[in-house]
Amino acid sequence: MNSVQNIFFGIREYLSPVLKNSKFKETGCITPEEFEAAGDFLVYKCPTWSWEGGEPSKRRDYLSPEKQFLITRNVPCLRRVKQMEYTDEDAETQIESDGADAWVMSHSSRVSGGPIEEIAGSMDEDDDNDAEAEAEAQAAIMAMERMNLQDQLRTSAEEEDDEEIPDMDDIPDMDDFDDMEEEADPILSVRTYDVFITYDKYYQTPRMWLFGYDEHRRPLVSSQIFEDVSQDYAKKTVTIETHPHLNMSLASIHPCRHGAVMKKIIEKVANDEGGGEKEPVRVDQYLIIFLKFMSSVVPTIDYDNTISA
Amino acid sequence: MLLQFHPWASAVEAPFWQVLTQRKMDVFQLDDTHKPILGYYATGQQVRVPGRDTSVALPARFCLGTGAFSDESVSEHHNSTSRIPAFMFPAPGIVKNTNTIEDFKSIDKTALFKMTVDQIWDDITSGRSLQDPSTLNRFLLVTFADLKKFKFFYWFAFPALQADPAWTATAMEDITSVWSSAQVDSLRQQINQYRQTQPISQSGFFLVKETNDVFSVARLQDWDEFYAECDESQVTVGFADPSALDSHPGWPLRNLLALIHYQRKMTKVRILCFREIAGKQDMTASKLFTAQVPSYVPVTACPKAVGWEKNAQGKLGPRLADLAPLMDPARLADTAV
Repeated sequence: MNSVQNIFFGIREYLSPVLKNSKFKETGCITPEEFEAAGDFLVYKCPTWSWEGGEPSKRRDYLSPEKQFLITRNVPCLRRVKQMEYTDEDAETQIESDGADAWVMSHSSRVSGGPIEEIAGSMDEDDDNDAEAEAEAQAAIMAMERMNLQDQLRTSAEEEDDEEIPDMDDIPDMDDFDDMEEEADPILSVRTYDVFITYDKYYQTPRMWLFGYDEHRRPLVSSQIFEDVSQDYAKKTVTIETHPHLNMSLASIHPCRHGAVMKKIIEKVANDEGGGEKEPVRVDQYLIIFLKFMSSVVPTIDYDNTISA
Repeated sequence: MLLQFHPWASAVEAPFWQVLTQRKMDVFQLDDTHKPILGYYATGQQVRVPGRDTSVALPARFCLGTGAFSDESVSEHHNSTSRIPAFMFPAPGIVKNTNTIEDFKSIDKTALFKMTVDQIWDDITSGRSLQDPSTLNRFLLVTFADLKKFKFFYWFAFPALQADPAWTATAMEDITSVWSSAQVDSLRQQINQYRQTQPISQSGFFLVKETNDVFSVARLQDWDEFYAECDESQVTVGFADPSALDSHPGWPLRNLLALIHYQRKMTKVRILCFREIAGKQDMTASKLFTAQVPSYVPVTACPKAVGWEKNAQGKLGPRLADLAPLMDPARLADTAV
């Protein structure tokens, strides 16, 4: 089942032509060259992001061999989304208001800085809602529901796994970290995420992937990752798929709406920026804006503080 | 106050297990001798607690990523710099991957540990760790990869030599309370420059000198020249400190102190715990303190060492990474969209 689908995705990607001409202002989509330029700018601005080449056998030839995707590691995630309590001051702003696919900016008044919250309020209705995106969203919902069940089964299986760890004979004379007394300072054990950005050739936009670890550095299962995704998206636009440059499945924010939303944001920034003096958005700023947009999907994963104000 | 050290918390990136699996199948096969690997770490980081005006320390993470194994096709220099991410410091180690779970259980861990300790001690006494200070971070990893079930059992050891008598320390001071912000900034630029011009193996340990408000930074091996005009009270040894605690320095300092004690015969030394916010050009979280032993006692034999990591249950024992949900084709099919 999965392999059939992977083959389908593979063929679809193979058949889609590489976007050649820049049209990021018209469509919100970018070419691989623009992705690379935007990535270079992101790495320059926020050096905690870096380029990677990934699996040599999975390299895409429309991207430089050493610049296949972007990664930032060990991003702390201090609390779960449901712990972010709403107060009256927390505005919730709908970026698009077309039902199932609506992007909601939660806590938009709470996020400081960045152009997105001013933009978000006055976004127009988006009409080019193609049937395919709708169908995919539906399929995603059903799959998620199935997956939840599986995750519950998995959790109980894992508890057994813990007991499976073999007993080792006690090792003489290295009994302890001898001199670490009771912790005077609290150490915060938190979830951490490795965050990836790849270029999606089919949707011609960047795509964000998440890999999470629990407080004891064990990989998170998908149901746990959904705890860190804004509930408006968790069951709709976040899916588990094979990472294009690693032989592994990761949670990913599905890019079917990215182009449209990015277009809106870019237009808004271009029109509003600085009142009188208009400074058009440069394409190399694309990923910085993209990350602001993504932080509404994963509000508690704190990668955004790597971005210098 | 007895000097205490904040231990490592191992943090294996999931793709490392994939790389190990590939090596095992394509290269090592049934060869279970130990192989060299490269780990890395960042300086200590504190994060703000949302909604409260306090910061808390994150664990001192010791990471293994996809660059852990060397790629024979590229030159060694290019190799080690490109194998770890920016702003990270290297730690060379060995991995012993057993073929069966029985081997993993029965393996002579004491002997492996002793071998690593001997190597560290030999590097210190021979002066090799002055030339390549990253060897002070040598570590050991024992693994068993259950390739059918995508389960990985592993156990880290970060050997640290014990000083006898133990080091004592003055209270840790904020670097900003000792030096002005202009001074800290000038020191930061010197350290930056040092890291850019030196091989990455030098990056985690360095010497600092302050003369008439001017800072300079040098390699450990340049000690005699660098401090030629100075007395011992002007010596400041810096190290990239993975601890984010206000009260304790991190693990790499233990072997560094053993090196200073053995090679320089010093009983008192000022230590700079270098802690930066990656990419923010900010090292104001750094700390200063003075470490001291009552008297110089020549060490002739390899000291005792500690360093096996505890597991998630807080016991001395192996850890388990279960990657079946991410790698097992059967399980992947279940979650397919």
